[in-house]
Amino acid sequence: MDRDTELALVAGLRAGEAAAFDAVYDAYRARLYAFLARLSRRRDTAEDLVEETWLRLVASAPRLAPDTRLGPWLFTVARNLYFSACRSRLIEETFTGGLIDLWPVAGRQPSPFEAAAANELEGRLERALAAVPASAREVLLLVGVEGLTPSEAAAVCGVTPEALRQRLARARALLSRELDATGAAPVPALQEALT
Amino acid sequence: MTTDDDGEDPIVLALGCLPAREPDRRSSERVRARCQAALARRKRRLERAEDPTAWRWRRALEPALAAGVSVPFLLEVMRRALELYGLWRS
Repeated sequence: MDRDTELALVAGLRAGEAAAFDAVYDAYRARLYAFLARLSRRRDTAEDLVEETWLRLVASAPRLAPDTRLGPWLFTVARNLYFSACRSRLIEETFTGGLIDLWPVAGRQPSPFEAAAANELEGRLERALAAVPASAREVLLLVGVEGLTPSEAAAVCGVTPEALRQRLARARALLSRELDATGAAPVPALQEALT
Repeated sequence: MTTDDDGEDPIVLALGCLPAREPDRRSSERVRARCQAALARRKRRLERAEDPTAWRWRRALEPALAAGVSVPFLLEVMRRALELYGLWRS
């Protein structure tokens, strides 16, 4: 989506135009769902959070700044909703106890997309991504999968660009270690095989 | 590490090849419908707020409606209270 189209869509959203919402929804629906499903490692959690994210967009539409970048805005809301849901669940668990294994933060979980991977390498990448901690996963997803610049990803995560770069370096090291552990091909070969 | 390095890193490039995934179609359409309904409600509210005739009517009608419901209710409460203390016989 080019910048002029994006600005026109933001203006449309501010005016409450259904067509503008439809265009934004079609452009980001799959990306937002994939981001949340990979981050939470659960389809049902992702679906709930995606719905909440879109409803937040509709509720905030009149107050959007005219130069809003829609991608980073949506990913910021989605990411904050996910971590806020994690915090609420952790608080609940301190009172209920014994439910720790039911929450996606706890323990190793498979990727929701591993079975749907088009090839073996894609499956290994999904598995390795699901195995790294959420704080590393979010950075890898934002920069690697969604193509946000480190500055945009830093704004989404609420950290400075320098802190984001450090976090990204750690996340890449963790992912690389996971890929080695799963016996995937060396990283350059992996990238070649996927393209 | 620089910003340019991030784009050229093989891991970052490999992640970029992962496809976006479609959510469940029914759930997706339900979310779209909910959002469209919320947008339509907000638009209607805005249109009503901008219409001066509707605004004048609402200014007159709302207090009248509130009074029409609450005054009989209060009168009935007072009547029953008076009846309870024997100060009113119907």
